Amino acid sequence: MRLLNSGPADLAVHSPERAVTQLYEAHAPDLVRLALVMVGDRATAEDVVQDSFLGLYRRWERLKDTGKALTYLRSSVLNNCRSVLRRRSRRLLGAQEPPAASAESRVLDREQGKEILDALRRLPHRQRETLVLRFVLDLSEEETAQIMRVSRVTVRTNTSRGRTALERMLGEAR
Amino acid sequence: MNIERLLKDAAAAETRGVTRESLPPLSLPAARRRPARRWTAPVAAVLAMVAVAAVSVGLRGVLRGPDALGAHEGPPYFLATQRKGGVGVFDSWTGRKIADIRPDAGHYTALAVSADRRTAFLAAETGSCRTHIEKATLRRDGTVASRTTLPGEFGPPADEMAATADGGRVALTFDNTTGCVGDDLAVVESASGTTRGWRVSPGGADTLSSAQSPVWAADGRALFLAENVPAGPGEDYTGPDLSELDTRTAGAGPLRARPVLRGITDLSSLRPSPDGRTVTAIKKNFGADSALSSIAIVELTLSGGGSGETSSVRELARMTARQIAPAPSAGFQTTLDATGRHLLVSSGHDRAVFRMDDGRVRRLPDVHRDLDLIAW
Repeated sequence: MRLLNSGPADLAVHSPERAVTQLYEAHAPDLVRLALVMVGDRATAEDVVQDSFLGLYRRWERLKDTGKALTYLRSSVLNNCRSVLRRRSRRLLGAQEPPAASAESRVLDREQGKEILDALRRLPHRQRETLVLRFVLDLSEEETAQIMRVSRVTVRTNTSRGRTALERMLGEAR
Repeated sequence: MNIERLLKDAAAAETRGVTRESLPPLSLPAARRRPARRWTAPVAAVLAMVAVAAVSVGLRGVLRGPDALGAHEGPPYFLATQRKGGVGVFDSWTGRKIADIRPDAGHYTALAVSADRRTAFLAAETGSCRTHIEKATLRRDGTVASRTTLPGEFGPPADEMAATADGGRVALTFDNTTGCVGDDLAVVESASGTTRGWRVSPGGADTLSSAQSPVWAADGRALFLAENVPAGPGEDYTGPDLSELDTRTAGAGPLRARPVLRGITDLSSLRPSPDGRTVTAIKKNFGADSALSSIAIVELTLSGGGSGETSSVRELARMTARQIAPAPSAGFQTTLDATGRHLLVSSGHDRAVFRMDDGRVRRLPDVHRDLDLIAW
């Protein structure tokens, strides 16, 4: 699930429609995977990614460096995921059932995979996002820091805390 | 335990069905048509007039300096967490930042400000299973006069907080999904740090099974809490109930509170009236496509007899999604001030903040960021 860190080199010379569509074709699957791991259901993940591309399209003329469009998109997807999760928990719906998993994921790794992703989704959002960017998307500390707009030290701290918390939760569950 | 490997495998299994072919095409809005050339001259003339007006207004603004606080209706400033860390105090009319409050350690997970705007409480998660409450005294202009850390420590991170009108007490609910041990609700006396705690008891017949969205009655004694009540077999889910806890008489231990309202789905930022008969709240409305269509301030009547009947909802004011931005449904933070008359909306998509006062919508000109937690 490795992503390139910049969009196609000739993006700047294209119309915004064409440039954004080109980015969508190249990176939408990875961004939907990122959103799916964060929010847990496919339809919401697709909506979040569509919203992020729409936001990019609207801001295209104001982007100082179109080569950083992918960094913007990843950051936007994380922000939108955070908002979705916050809305779920703060709409006073409380302990609603998590969204249903896809047919594939129900069959695959039913036990352990679900357990670890459930535990991941219970982490504080900063730790959760850091672990997903570092370990699921295989991004470097530097790339993760750029997307989350924090320092590398913070990335390291969140990684360590998130990992410890996950180990504890998984240990207790067994 | 190799967490990296486990995460990678779990994510790969979860997302295996996501392929380029399985995704819908990107849907972008149609490009705007340029106006015909015959309109060029009048449009240019209007633009020139607007530019002249803007320059003169701007120059006057520069000479006069920023607007003074308190000149407008509603609370003069609000607190909000910032992406780069810490909490900012912002002018609630212009959005200009007035002060920064940074934690000595960790990060803030919940905020509350008293209705008199003089006392703010900030819950700081300072380590694993360690939460402290900071109290900041604010001057009339929103700058910070003093900061202290209240005595005592909590295990789980604070989820939400509510301050009494005079700042004498603060109520906290906790995020108990983190594996940290502690109460589900606590009330802290801000002068002494004396704390009382309660636990929810899932399945208890006459006790609350969850406690969310705390808000104080005007007397600073009764505390309202939302309780999520799952639907039974064959029942329709009607949303959480609102209950009232008398914090002076209720003993510590299992949380027993009196239901005052049933089924408050989609309501947030509840603000009881001074006479305790009604409650004002924010209601978000969504269209058939799940996109946000409007944000309304509504009023509900509380049940006096303790039966907690469902109330009719009276709409007081409404802000449509189109008024704040043609933005997607995700990413709106909303909060009411203590009176329930003034609404603040942060749009994460456009990094803009709006307010609504008696139905009038206005964008805060000096804030170009999205806000996370807001206390107003």
